[in-house]
Amino acid sequence: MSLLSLLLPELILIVAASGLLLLGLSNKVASRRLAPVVAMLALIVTFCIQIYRVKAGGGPTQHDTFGGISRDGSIYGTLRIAEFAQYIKLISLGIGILLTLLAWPTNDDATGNSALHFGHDAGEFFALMLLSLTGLLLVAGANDIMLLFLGIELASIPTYIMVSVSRPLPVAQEAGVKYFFLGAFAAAIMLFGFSYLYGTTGATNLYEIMLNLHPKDASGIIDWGTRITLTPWQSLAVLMLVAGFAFKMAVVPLHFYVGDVYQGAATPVTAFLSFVPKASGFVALIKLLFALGGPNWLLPEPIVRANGTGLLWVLAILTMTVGNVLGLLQYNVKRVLAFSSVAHSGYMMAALAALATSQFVSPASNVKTTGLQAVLFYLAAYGIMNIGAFGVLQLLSARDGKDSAETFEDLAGKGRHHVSLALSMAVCCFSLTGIPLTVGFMGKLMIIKPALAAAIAKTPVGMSSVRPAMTWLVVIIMINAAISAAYYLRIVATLFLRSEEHAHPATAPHAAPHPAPRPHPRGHHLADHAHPVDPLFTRHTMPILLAVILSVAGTLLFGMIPSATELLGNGVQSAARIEGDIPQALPGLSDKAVAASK
Amino acid sequence: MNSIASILALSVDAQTVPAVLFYLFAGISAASALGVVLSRNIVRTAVCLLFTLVGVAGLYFLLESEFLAAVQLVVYVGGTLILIVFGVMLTSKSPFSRFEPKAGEVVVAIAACIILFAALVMAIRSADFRPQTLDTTQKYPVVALGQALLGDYLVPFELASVVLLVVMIGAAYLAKSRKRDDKRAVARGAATLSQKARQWS
Amino acid sequence: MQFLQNNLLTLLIFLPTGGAVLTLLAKNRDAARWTALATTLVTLALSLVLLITFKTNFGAVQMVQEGDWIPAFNIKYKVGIDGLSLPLVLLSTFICALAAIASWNIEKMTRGYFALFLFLETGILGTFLAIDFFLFYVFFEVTLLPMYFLIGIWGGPRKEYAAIKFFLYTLVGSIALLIVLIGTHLYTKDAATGLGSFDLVKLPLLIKAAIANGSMSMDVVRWFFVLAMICFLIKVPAVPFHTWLPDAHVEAPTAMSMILAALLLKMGGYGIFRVAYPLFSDAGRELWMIVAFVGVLSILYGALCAMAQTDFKRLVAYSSVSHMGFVVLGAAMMTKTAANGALFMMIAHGITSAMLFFIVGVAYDRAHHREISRFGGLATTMPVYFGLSAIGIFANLGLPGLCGFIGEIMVLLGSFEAAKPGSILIQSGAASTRQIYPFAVSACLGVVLTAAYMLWTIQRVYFGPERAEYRGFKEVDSREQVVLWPLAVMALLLGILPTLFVFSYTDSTVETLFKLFR
Repeated sequence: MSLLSLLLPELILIVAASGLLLLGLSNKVASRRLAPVVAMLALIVTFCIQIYRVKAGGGPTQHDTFGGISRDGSIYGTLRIAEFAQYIKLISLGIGILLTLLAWPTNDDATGNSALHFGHDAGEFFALMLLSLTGLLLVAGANDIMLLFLGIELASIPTYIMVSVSRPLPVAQEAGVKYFFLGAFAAAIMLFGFSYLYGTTGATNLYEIMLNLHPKDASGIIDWGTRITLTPWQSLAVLMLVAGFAFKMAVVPLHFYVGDVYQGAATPVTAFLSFVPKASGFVALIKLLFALGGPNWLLPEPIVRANGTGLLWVLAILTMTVGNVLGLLQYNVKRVLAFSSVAHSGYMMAALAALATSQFVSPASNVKTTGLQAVLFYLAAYGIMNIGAFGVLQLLSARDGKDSAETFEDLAGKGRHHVSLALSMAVCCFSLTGIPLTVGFMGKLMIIKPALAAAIAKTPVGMSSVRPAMTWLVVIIMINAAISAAYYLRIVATLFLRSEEHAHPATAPHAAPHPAPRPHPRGHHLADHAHPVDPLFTRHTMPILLAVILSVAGTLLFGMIPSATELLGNGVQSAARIEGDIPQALPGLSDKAVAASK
Repeated sequence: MNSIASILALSVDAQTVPAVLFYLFAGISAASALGVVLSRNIVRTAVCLLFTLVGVAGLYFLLESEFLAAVQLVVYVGGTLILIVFGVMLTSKSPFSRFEPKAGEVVVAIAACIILFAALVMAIRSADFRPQTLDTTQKYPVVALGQALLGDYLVPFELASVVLLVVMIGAAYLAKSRKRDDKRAVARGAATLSQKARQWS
Repeated sequence: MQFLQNNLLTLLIFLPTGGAVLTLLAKNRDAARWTALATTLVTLALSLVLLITFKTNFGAVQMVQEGDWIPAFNIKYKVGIDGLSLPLVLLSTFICALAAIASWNIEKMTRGYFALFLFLETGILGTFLAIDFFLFYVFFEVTLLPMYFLIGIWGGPRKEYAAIKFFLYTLVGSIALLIVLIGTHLYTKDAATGLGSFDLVKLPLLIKAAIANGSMSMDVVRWFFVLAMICFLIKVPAVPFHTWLPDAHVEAPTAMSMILAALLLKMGGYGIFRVAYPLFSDAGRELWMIVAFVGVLSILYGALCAMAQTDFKRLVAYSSVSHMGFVVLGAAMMTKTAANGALFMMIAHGITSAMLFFIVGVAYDRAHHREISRFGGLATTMPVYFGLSAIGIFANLGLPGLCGFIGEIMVLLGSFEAAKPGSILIQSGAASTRQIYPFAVSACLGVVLTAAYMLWTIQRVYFGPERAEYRGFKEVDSREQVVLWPLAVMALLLGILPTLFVFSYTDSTVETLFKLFR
């Protein structure tokens, strides 16, 4: 495959984004109406291309696993579009479609929708969305730290702007500025790490970095069976990189921004934030781990220690627990979902932590494949179910004519009047909790599987057991699943079990004993019960409704119907397998690289 | 005379000049970097940054990376820094605005810096600085650089331009939207989130 | 007929779901009610067909229907029935039909109520009929959702608290079971596919094989047993985990209290006999003392708590805790008599608890309170009601000739049997006679306590001078009689002909089960 055809999805999106920027110059309503259509068309076309590619891609021989303009004829250039990348691209584009639907302008003058306000700049807004998604696609295919960094930044920078402009409120500006400064800081740390990684290995290509890091025998053949030892300098580089990625993934201790930023941003943008930067962080982390661990995932010391603990383990436990506990303490549903997003990152980290112990347990436990599968599946699952929750919040606000429905009091008793919407919210919340017959349950199943497999696997002779560490991990996942159920259930309970009259902020456990009643500046509250025309089912709100329907349908479908789960499961399986195996042609490269490094 | 000449010849041999220059440039960089951090006047900070960047450019010269050094001077010193100064002068209400960090913030920052510095020192001490033989066969590194940028690294190179485009749009967009929003915010009297939160608690 | 034979169980499980959809589409309240009632009645009729097709001496799981569900994990849709599940399935369809009648006075969001009710029936039947562990787990956990809404929306004043407490308690148990679910999958290898197994029929043997070849250590077996037991003991509920039950019962509408006590608690007991003991029988044998202690503690503590209650419904709820303690004790003792007794106890308690909760509901509908001290003289005011209540209460306290007696006496006999040489516990050396006697004797004490608080309740509520404010109470109407009479008749029939109704089905299955324990 030629470079152009390999980069076809990215190119289509960039061209569409450029077109949208030009479209943004026009001040006409028609051009604003056209903007999301253009974005949607571009996404659907690229999504179809991706479906075709994932379907067509069989084994590594049929598939063009290496691409880009390669350096001195070696097989891995700056890009590597293998099954792994194809799968990430597929889910990113699919979820991108849903995110675009959420951001669809429904105001009469097409300046935004009930939750989102981009004024006269629909063209620019959707262009930024497409560019951010392009960044994620490039991260998925990146095989070079320069491309990786630029991809992450391309995925992130548009989100800073989207946050600030998404609502005509100082809140959003505050959130945007906060997000931008912290994001820039994280990018700097990440770049620092990348520069050290380059400095200590002499390569920017991830494969060359991998080759240079791994020990070689006398004849220059790389020993993939030995775990590397990082020098302190390299460890520092890795720590900085993980810190930079942790910011994107919203992993503790770099999670502190999520509450304010997710709350401040308009709901569709919040939904965007909870998927695109997070996915880019996880994909980048997986690539870094692959470079450090080699095809056998023998990860070095600070990442994982011989008893199964280590950086990933600590981050997983901290992130799950802190995210869920903070989620429990929130009074604002968007903040709850923000910290739930942190917790879900923790679950994915837990799968990575289990994956990292594969070197200390017997291969029969198959932790390597199942761990990576779990992360890949969970990314998609989280994306799908989360969008439904944000979409419902957005629609509820549309119905009440408020800017946003985001506190528990805004939701109280809505289940009585908006049954279908509240049920959709309930489905998403139950899925996020991990109740069977939803995709969230399948995800949780896949997350616990590698951790438990590592906890019960046999320890090979001469190794210390990872059993205690992994057992604790499983126990903490269990405890966290229970904690998280409490706050998701609170959302459902607020919707269905509470009546609107009785709702007041005191129902939040931490609220002050005598809270001031929330002002209703525009008096919508009283008008609530008399809707002459149901604003939900107008022509304009259809796209948002469609996003919610698709998300809920996906949540149930992938949780229930075997063939659908299989479809995703197979994609996950092949993606996990290919990234984890030594590529066929690698020995040739290793010889060359070794010769070059001598 | 002879002895003086011989002493001079001894001390000013091929090894010493780069060493002296290295310490000179490194000293300029480090001292002015400290100035950047410590100065509370934003214009002085900018000037200190100028010397830092010049010092780093000097180091590049010493490393025989003339192109990089030139780029450093032209882009950072000539372009970015001037832009920063202009930006400060145009946007801030007083051209000599001052940073006033809180005491707590200073403590946290110092602690973080000390930790990072210690880690860096440890890391660098452990590093294996073997003398590298430079590839001097290519007379003009610019040629190789150009080929790499438009060959192997075409995708990152082009992507960088897209990222810069986004940044540019973002800057323009934010500047525009702020004007628009200031008006609207005043008109609607919207409360900030923090104010709302304060009301509640 | 062949079609029916092959698909009967699936039909049975999903018929209520179909009914739920129809109910949602119903035009008005009455249509919804009638649709729901018709669905439960058809389901009941279908379940009675099982009595014809069921082979009593077969022992193993029969009428199996099997299909791939998620092949990547070797998860199957596999349903079947044996002596453990048949009585419970019949009980479920029976109680659900009565509960549908008992729900007739629901006025708020009627369609939603009956749809959730029917979904709940699907979940309950699915739990009892699933033979695939994964499927079992799915049904087991999915029953949470309708019950959560049914308590939370249609419940009493503290419904939100009660619903969330119910959900969270059970969810914690479910998560524990999830670990067991994945763990057994990881430890076992299905010969056919090479993947781990979820088949509840094969799993006991596969786990025994894994223990034998050393890939599964006894520590792990013990942990899995404990986790599974925690899940089921929360559901049963046994004493340290029981606090959700009184709250849920007090807040739940009458019909849901009936289902909760008669069926949902049984899912815990059923799980003990279907999952915890067959899969991890070695651990069950070793840890018998803990389980027996929990059982006896539930019996005694539940009875004492019941005695202290002032709220009629809370009293019945605590009596459920006490009675289900017998089921736990029956499982712990690992004798056939005790196991049969425990199974019988579940059916008997299903009948009597449903009856008692309805009786409380009848009183509440008229008096709008449940304070025992404010009642009195109802026997004079409502003689028919008193007569039916007396049957329910006497059946519950274990009067010979009524159903409660058989269960209790069998469990107690089984417990003493366990102390004899030759019982599994003694033979394996896990217990000595001296250790077993205290448990059996204290359980007997429980019977006395039960009689005490139940008789005291009769005295306080029904006897004594007739109270002026209750004089206007109308006698139980025909709808209420339609609910109460079948329960009363069943209480009597089960008490007189236990073998015909229960033991003829459970015997051969218990036999099969005990082959695994040896």
